[in-house]
Amino acid sequence: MEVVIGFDINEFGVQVSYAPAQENAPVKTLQLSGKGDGTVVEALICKRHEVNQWYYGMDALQKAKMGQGILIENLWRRFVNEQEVMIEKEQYDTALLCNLLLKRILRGALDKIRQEMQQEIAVRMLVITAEPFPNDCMERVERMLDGLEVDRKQIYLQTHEECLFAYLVHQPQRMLGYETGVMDLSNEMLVSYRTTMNHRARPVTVCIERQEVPHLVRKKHYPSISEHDRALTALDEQFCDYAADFVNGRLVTTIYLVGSGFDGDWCQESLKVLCRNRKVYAGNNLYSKGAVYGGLSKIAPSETDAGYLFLGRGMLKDNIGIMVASGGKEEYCPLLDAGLNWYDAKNEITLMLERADEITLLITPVNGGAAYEEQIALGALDQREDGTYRIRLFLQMQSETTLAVTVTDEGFGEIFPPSGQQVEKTIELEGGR
Amino acid sequence: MSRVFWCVGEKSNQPLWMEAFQVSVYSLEELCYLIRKKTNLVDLTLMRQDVLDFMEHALKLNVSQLRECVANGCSLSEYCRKLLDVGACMVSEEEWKKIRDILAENEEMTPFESRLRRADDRFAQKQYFAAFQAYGALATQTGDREQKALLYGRMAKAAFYLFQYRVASAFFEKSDSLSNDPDMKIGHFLCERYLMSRQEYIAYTTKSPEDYALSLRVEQIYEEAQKKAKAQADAALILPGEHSLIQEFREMME
Repeated sequence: MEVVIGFDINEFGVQVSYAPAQENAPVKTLQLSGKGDGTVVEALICKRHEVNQWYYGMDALQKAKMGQGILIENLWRRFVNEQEVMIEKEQYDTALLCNLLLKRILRGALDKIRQEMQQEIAVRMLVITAEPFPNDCMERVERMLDGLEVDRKQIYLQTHEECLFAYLVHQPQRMLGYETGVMDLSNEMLVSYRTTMNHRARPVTVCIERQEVPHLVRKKHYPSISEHDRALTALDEQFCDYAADFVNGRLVTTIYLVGSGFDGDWCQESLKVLCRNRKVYAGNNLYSKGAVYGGLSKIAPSETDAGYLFLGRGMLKDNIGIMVASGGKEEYCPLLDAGLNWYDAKNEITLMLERADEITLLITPVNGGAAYEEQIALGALDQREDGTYRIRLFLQMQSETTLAVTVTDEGFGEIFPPSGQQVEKTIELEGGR
Repeated sequence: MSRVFWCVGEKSNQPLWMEAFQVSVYSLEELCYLIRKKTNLVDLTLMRQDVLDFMEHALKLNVSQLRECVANGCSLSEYCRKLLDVGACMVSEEEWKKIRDILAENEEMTPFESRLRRADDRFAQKQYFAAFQAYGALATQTGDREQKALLYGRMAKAAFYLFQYRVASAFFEKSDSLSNDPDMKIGHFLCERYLMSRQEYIAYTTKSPEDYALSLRVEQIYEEAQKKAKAQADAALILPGEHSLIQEFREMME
């Protein structure tokens, strides 16, 4: 049986969910740890003194408490921010330490899945989501993923936003209102996500805004119980204000409270605000489940997946195309589609022009704005007989909202040799604004 | 705003040399263009297997209909019509009628006529050296006296436009010897006129009293050419932006 596995990694823990690689398969979260609800494995490793022996999770914590080894905490944040850590006067590559942790957790996860499914399994896809997301250290990410039990081609990285999107669209329709909020206290600092859906568009476009809230912090450890209580009371007050502001004047129909930071009953006042006229859910497996849903949508997309388009941070929010005459009619030729990451969005096409006067791009924002045209004047190209213009049209996004277009004259064989002339234009797209 | 079209098939990295048009072709669009704009040069070489193979393998086109057309012995115009359709080439009915009529004529051409037309096309494109060579190649291959006279005459004209008066003179003379065409003789005399001084030329023409009338005609042509050249030279001396002061001086005098 093939399975899709989702890993959610943060600086404190790793959570694993999975599902059979089939359309509409149920997604389950594994219990791999003995602590709490058992779904989060501590993101800790411990090196035994003077020996190349490593422990992870609760074992690592216990060995360190017993003085048998050196504990490395906040491993993920260290991996994202630093290349090496010093352990017993020796430098260790954080990518390799994370690799070690993931290998151990993956091994444990595979054994558990086999146990639960009572059959042999093969990993069709492993989707990893993490916070902080390793945007600027992709080379080290490759080292981290090297040698895992899953082939590299079957490993995907997704941001929390992409996981949130995948999770939400697989929830019952009644829960998909206009806006959904997620309050995330998986780490110490609150991160909020606001999801807005444009149901007038087809497919339905989904935008997710992420906001870090630095003044809302629940620490993992406090020096004393009184300090802990004082801090949480103050936090409830601050969170209450933030929550009120978050929902004020907006149609937020559902709120998710994610992460162990919401454990306990410290946020009663905040809940009063949040629960007014909306549903509030608590849990901590949204991202790992979302990672699995994301993987399933790639290999076994359902009708639901086709009905929604995620326009996340850094994604193109406009469809860009051109009208091409064919068989006496004009047909739309898409050049760049909304939903692509802007740094991946580029395309090149060769076309014939009747004359070298101008070409027109059709731009359609998918967030509900009106479609419009952008003309690119070609007067700079040498004029010659009609119908002898072969041009290469190259489009590349230079940022989330800036499109660079280059039109190159390819000539017309030996009859009109290529001049190499180019016309360039930069266009600010409206959809991303 | 002009229309945008798909490219039909691919553009080949290795072009096909089209003997009929004396140009290499990289794409179907170019082939269609040549059929439309150089219809007088289209001949049966366009229906050869190598052209079909090029379209199929290099341009990645489906040419099964064209192959069938050739196998069934279709006419040149039927073949070209199908080719233009494959190329999605929009040709008006009026334009197609003209093309079809020329193609029907082309189909009756002999290989000599076909090659002569290509050489003439080179001449018309002011590719005088290439035209000279093409006429020369034809002249060596033909034994027909009339054809040789025609070809020598055209070689002479090509050489004349290349300012090779001695060569031109020789070929005008050769053509004249085969055809007794007065225009060829005039061409020969004109070349000699350019090459010789006045005295030399007078001495030359007095040798053939029967050609005095022709000599006079040559002189007239020579003078007309000189006048034209002078007029053009004078016109070239007028700088852009400047105008004649005749009108101003007239007013001052009044």
